[in-house]
Amino acid sequence: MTAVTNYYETHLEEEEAVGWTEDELEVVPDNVRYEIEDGILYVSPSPALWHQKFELKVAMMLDSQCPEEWTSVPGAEIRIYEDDKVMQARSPDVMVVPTEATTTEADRNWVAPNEMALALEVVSKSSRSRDRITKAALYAEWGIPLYLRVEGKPAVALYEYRLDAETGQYRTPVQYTDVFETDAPFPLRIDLSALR
Amino acid sequence: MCDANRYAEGSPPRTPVPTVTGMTAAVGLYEPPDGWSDEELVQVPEGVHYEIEDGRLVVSPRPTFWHQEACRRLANVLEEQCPSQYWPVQEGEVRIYDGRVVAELRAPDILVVPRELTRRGAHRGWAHPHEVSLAAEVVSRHSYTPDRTTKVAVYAAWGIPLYLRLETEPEVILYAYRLSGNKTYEKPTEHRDLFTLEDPFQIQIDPGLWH
Repeated sequence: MTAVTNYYETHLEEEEAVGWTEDELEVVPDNVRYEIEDGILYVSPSPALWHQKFELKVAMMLDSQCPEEWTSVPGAEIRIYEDDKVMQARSPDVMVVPTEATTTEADRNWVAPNEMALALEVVSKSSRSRDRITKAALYAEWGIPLYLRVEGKPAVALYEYRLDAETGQYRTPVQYTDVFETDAPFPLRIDLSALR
Repeated sequence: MCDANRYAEGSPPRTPVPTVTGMTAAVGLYEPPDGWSDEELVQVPEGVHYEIEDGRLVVSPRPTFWHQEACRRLANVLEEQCPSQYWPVQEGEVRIYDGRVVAELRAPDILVVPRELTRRGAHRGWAHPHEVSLAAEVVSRHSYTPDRTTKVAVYAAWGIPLYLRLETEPEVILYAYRLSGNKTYEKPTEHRDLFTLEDPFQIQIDPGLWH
């Protein structure tokens, strides 16, 4: 982290030094999980193994059902830029993005909020408040039409948050404990028993 | 980077506090393996601006003079007009415990709490969410997202009946959020001129104070 540290300590003293350019983000080591809020970078720990398993399984389930134009990816980044600086960056556990953004030709490593079909978070002890409250508020603010929250404990459950066009917020989430089925943004069935 | 004095050989492993990158070293904080109990929180150096989310301590940059001045003016207005059983505090803490450790801790710029919590010798220096009648944030560049979006959702989920958001750039606007039935706030009302509050107590706030 030394390079990042030095960068930040130098720049914190400058009034206008908020936000991260792509070159500066290149300096962040690969294994560091980070998010950017209001131009400030925060690092977070790696989640538990059961969480990783859920994340992988649900990403595969989604991907097998995505129509051609959509692709499910784990651990990718949503970014909001101001000029050439990243002011916001979030990494939902799984997201469904346009297939054209995932081609080798496109060679992209982020998507904008308005490109996304859905975001999904697997809730762990270290992310309860974030996944249940703050990220739900943020994804709604960004206009992500569907947010799925998967709880692993005490029993597996999925919560479906749908954007209300009038309020711009998510409606009260609907809970599923067995099978989640929907037609929007495309026909999708998630059998929660397969996640255990 | 580790503060060697605090962690003797053989003590459990600790991970750096997640924070503004680079400030970890400056602040020298490492997460206690069992979470932040009262005893552990005492170790946080004074002047460090922190909150706890999901049991993890997050350090944020210090606010500007203008931000502090804007907060003081709001606290003054509230202090002049609050009924005697309430009192405004600046950067007071709202805490939720999970056993002995603090699971959630937020420090709104201004809190209005029961007067007895602010008296000399009060037995505790923080508030439960249900004791907070009003929380307010003065929005600064480092806090756009929390003050406008994410903390708003937290305060609503905690049942804080009234949330005030003061924007001072480019224009002074006071936003008032009131709780609706299902632990969310209704669409906020916007005030560019005198704002009159009836509930939980009568107060008038003139946005002209921040011009």
